[in-house]
Amino acid sequence: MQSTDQRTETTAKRSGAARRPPPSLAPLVDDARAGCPRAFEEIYRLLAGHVASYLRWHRASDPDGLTNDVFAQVHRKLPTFEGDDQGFRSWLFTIAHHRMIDDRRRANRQPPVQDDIGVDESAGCGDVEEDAFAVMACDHVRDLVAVLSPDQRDVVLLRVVADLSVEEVARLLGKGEGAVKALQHRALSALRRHLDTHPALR
Amino acid sequence: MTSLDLSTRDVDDIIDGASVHGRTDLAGVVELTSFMRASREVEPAPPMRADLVRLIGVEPPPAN
Repeated sequence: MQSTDQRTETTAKRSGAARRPPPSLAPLVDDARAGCPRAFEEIYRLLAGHVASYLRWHRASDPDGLTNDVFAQVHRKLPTFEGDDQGFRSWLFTIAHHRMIDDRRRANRQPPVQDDIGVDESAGCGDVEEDAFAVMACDHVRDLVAVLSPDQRDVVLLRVVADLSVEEVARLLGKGEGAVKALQHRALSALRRHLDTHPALR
Repeated sequence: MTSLDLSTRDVDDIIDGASVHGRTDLAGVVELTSFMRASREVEPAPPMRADLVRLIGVEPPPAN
């Protein structure tokens, strides 16, 4: 059986994440703001997976549908956006985060339903065995993130999955940078302690 | 420093999914964050719903 290391390496290799620098968004954002549908479609192609992933780690009820909602809002608000590549990413995840909170509130108002923790069909995209490992690994990580407090989880997912800076996370969450640093520190310590006391998870 | 202590540099490295020099005790957390980063790259873009396609004004893909 593959180790988590091997699975992570496989996942990274399949993504090409370690090899390719991300394409510049600025020209696409400019063109999309000028009304070019293909430019917006390309932005969607580049970033919708990241947004869906962020929402999935938060166990949003419908990550794919919410991602569509997020990009619809981005499209409507695009004329008001000003900033660079990282600014766009931060703006996008601010919208995604607020959508996720709305979704969570809506879910809390509804009667509980059976949580679907079965096979995540979106996790894989190729070899059946690799995809099975990817699904297992994703569930494994999601279980670990669930041990964090909501604030800690927000910070870790915004820093790691959304790839935002401490300053951007602080602005998004309406907290001070010191508070964000403290939360990420406590979150990582908690994860480490959890892994120490649950060695079978590793 | 106890084994549970994390310096600012350690935290930054873990968030980046990078190994922390001399801290094999942190390997599991680093493994987690590096996996989270890698997994977002393989998450496929969800299919665009018809309302989003209409909103942005792209031609829908031809039906097979």
